[in-house]
Amino acid sequence: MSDVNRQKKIKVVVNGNLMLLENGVFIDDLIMLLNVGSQRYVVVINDEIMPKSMHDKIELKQSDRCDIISPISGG
Amino acid sequence: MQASSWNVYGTELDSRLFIGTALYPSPQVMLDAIKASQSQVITVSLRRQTSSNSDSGEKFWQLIQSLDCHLLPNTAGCYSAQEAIKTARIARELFDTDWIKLEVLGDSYNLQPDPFALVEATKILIDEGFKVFPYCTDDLVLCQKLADLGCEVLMPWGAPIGTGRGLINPYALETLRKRLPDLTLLVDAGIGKPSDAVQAMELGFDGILLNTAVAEALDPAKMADAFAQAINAGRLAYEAGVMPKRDIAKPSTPTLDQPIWQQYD
Repeated sequence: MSDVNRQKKIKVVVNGNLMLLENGVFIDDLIMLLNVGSQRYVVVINDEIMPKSMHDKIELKQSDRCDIISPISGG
Repeated sequence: MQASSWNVYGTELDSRLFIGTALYPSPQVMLDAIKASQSQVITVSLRRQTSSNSDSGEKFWQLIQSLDCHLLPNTAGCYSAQEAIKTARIARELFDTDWIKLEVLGDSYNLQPDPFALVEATKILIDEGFKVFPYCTDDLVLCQKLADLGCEVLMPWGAPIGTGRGLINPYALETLRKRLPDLTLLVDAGIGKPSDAVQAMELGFDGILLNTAVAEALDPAKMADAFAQAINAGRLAYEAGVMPKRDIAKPSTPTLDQPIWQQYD
């Protein structure tokens, strides 16, 4: 990979795992990449809840911590 | 006969059993047990997305949607007020409800609620419009403080979560009922068998929240049915008015007009 290409990538932690993403990726793009679009989820970036209406407007940035939260069983 | 219906934060309910969705041996067993329980409120939780097992993610969501119950999300596993508040906010977004079962634990050995952090988190969440169902100890002063903050419902433990030890301190629970007559009280955690639930209901508790006692039974659906009947029986008994205990025996058969030879025996 060339240095130019490297600069185009950003490091983002998604659900605790490091991911290399293209610079300029929106939350919607990440959701599509993870194939969870049809599911029930909430996106939290750096501890802040991202409203669904903003998913096509908020761009992921270098070092963002992104969590996709889903329902699980509970007592 | 069915016990009276009740009201939880403005929602009218017939069943007085809240049931958890965890620990069942299979999704089908969970569905069968919850249906048998006749519960109208089920507890759920939230986590980072991993592979979609049947007890998490989309499959789980579809399953619980099919039950058509009210959802009560919890903040299980939180050990600070900040953590619990954050989880509650995400839960509201995820489950589209302002109900929250607020758990803030203070000890990992017996999963005892941290009363100080619980009060701190309750205050903030009520200010944000949440309907808080605090999982708390049976401490009267703590419960009074939670009520003063605006909790209409309190959920003191019977015993530590998952122990099935029943009501460890019935005196404390009875005191709560007497001192907080207008509050909705559920026993949450520690219920092991239907007779534990009956005991709590006869004390005047409004409902029971349980999970392990049903999910870990040999036949969860049958146990759920047993709990449903027990809770109804306990409530009917409370509404009917339990007779006072006496120290001295009192004959149940009238002695007046007995044949003379029995009177002089």
